[in-house]
Amino acid sequence: MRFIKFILPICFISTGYTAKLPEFKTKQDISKIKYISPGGTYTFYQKTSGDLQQSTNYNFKNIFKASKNTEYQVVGSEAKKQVLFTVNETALTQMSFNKNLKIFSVDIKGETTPQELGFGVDPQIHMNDQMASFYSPLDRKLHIINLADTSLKKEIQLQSVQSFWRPLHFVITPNDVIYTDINQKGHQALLMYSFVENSFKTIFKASSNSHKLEACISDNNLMVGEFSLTNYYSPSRIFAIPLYNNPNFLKKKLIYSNTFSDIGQMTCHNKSIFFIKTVAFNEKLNAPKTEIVKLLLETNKLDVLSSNSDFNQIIKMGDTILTLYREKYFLIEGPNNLLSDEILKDQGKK
Amino acid sequence: MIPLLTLYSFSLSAKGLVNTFKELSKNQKANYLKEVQNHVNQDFNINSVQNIQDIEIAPAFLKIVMLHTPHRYFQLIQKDKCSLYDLLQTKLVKFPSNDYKQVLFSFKDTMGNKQIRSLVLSDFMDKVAYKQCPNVRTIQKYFTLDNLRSTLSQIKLIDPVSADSCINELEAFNKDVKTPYLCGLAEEIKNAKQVSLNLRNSSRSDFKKRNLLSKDIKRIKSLQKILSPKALEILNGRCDNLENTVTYCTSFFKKGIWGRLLNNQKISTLKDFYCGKRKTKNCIKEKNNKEHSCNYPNFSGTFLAPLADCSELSSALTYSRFKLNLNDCPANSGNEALTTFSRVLNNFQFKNQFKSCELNSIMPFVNFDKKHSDMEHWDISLCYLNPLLDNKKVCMKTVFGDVPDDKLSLSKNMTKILSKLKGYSGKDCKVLSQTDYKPTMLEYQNGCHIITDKRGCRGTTCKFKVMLGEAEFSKYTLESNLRFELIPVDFLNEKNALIKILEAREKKSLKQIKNISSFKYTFNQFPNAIFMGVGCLEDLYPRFYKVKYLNECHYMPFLIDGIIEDRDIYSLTLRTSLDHIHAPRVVPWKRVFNSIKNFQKYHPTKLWSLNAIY
Repeated sequence: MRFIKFILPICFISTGYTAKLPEFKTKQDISKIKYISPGGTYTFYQKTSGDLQQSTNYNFKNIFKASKNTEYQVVGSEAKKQVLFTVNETALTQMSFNKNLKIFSVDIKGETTPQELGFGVDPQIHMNDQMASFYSPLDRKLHIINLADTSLKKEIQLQSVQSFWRPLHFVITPNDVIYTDINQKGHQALLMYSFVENSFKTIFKASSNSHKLEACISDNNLMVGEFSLTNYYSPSRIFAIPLYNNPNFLKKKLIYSNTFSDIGQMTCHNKSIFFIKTVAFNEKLNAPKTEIVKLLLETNKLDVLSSNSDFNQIIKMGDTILTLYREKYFLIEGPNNLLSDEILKDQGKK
Repeated sequence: MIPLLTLYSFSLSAKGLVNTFKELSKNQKANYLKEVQNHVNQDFNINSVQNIQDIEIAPAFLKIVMLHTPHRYFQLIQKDKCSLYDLLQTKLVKFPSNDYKQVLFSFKDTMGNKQIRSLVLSDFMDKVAYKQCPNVRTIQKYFTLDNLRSTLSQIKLIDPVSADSCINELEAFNKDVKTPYLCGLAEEIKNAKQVSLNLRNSSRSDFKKRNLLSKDIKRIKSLQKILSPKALEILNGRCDNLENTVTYCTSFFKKGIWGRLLNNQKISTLKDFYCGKRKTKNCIKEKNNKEHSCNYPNFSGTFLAPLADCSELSSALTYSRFKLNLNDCPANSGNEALTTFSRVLNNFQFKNQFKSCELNSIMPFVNFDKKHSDMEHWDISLCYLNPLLDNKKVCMKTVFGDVPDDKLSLSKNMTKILSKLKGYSGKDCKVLSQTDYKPTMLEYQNGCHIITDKRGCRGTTCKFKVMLGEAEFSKYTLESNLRFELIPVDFLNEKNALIKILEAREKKSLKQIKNISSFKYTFNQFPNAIFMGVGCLEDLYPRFYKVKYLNECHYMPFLIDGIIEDRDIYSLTLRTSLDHIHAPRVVPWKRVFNSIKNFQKYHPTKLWSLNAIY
């Protein structure tokens, strides 16, 4: 027991509830699926030939044509109006983390021609699918684009000198962007940039340069998590910061803390935060045991959702929250009709 | 049988002797000298010996040398009398006086009478030892200066990889017939300072002594050239701990890397990276006491930061077998496959370190490509339209950065273009950054200057302008389409993947590793093996990278060179192409496995990407 230190859940209210997560199954090979819209109406998937296709109600449309082995990433939202996608034609022959990729937007029904937004990585869609943002790692700029008129482009130059660091970015109004930046000494900060005032305000600063900041938005609150990148014995904290009527963001409320470092991967959904909590740690092997937990924001109750001890990622796809273990996806929260509809249809066909 | 029995009984009684050490030492030296005096002038003729194999070392001699010889070396003489002669041959047996090396021995003469004689060590070796044990002379020949390099090339002198394997290696080392010779070399080098001091303090009129000491110094210098500092460090570790196998092996893995930064030339680049110009002792103290002091060493933004905490780094570097003889800067190479593949090449065939760190990730690849594929993979060229060939486009493969003697350098190729198009016959173009270029100064108003932007050239991209005198020259184009397969992408072109070329042309063995048992077996079986894989970055480093999209996977090459075990669970020491070469991380096997498994899911031929290379 020398190296195993069990970590007591330190939360305002906690439970010991655990449950097995159901596997997320799809009719098609899930490794080819890039996005399923809320309700499962539209599915975007890549073909071995290199094409990106969209399918709905047993029909399919070609969205984009590219060379063999092209890799796509697709992101949409609960608004179900548009999706953004990146095209990487040389994923296996030009392995470069900072390679700028072509970024496009397309209406979710696939009825219009994809529109090129620019070059970068990590595209995100915001504000009821009105705004898009992405990051360009080579010049370290955030790009903000109005999807109604893609000529309306804005950019924010980051201070970061770290080549392999990626910022978070949320567009909350056409003129206000919340994002993270990192200074030369490695301290991360969460900032809000106003294009009206052409200036930024600091919302939150990390307590040390070995901590990362994570954030997500729930109602009118910004949920900010601080987790160590290097040490499992360093504390984790999550704060709720009101976005409005909060001059200089001085009001903030600690809603979760842990003496030890969680993996994080915070995802806000339905008045809850999902994240990966560290429950035990083998120091010699640098190996944490982790569980997926759900922090209910109205009660601060913490539910442990998994019993696998090995999860490391949480993925939000529209209104569905998933996790990944080896090759399989498991459903954390979201409508099960994605699963049942496909299976029912599949069975009906037979 | 007497020598063996005598030694055995002596070693059993050795603890008792310790109690009265001083007295015994004094008495035994007196007894030994008395015995020697009694027999030193008596002739010895081998023909007067009844049976050569019955010649025995006298107990008085054994007792006296045991008092002066480091006890650990007596681990090596418990096999037979020949092993004692190995120790005499290698000067590991110490005499009460360096100037008076007499060996006392007994034998039965042809009449059957017991005789005792004393011979100078060299005579004893010639007349007795080599005759009784001819192999002593044979082995000794392998360790002469002429043959040493070749002999050492066949002996594995590498850091232990785990406490268990370390104990096994040391036990085998104790039994190895070559060990006295190896420890003898280590002792000779260890005595270098003393020999120099003796020479300095010796009387100038004592030509004979000075001549001998000078010869010793010359020999030590030669030995130092043959035996690398790292090999010497390992040898000293083994020879100093012949009796303390378990303690040595466990403390080696507890002590970690920081203490070893002191006086270890082999890891001087590691010291430079973590300590810079600081005093090593202060730096080591800080690394041992402040966990976070390792997070941002020498930080330039060109590698993944923060680095692991000091204790994790120490653990990773201690278990690591990667050669730590150069620096690199992953972000400046601009291509992850290039970074990792060059690290593999540097590990097996390191030549020299370049001033610009990105060239350490470029040049090994370029040279490999030149040797095996006629520069087919290095698709970065400087082109111009040649008026003598009807304005046909002529392209020259080009490498950015400071490689002045290489025909591929940007500077040489640009000079060639200027010579063809402008008749330029001056010195090669000089590459300098925008901040260093001062056009108002006279030296920049003549000749050719290639001015890069503020960030300078990266390994695979470079923004620059060319000034010929005071005028800009722009009749060239830079064409870059650097695409290659580190691992096979499809069955048809499998042989063109770099890893396959390495296997076929450089005769390196590749072995697919699918589980931890196979990893552990291969790791222990092949001490030079390193392991290369490609996996999903988000699975390897979930704390740094969140998956934002369904089936998102950043394909990331990585190298593994160490294994850490705790009750049948394993972690590996791993460097992705984003990590600095001196900053491995300890990653649980299950994460590595998940990462490879997920990559396999997306690979066109469902390739399992983890291979041992040795």
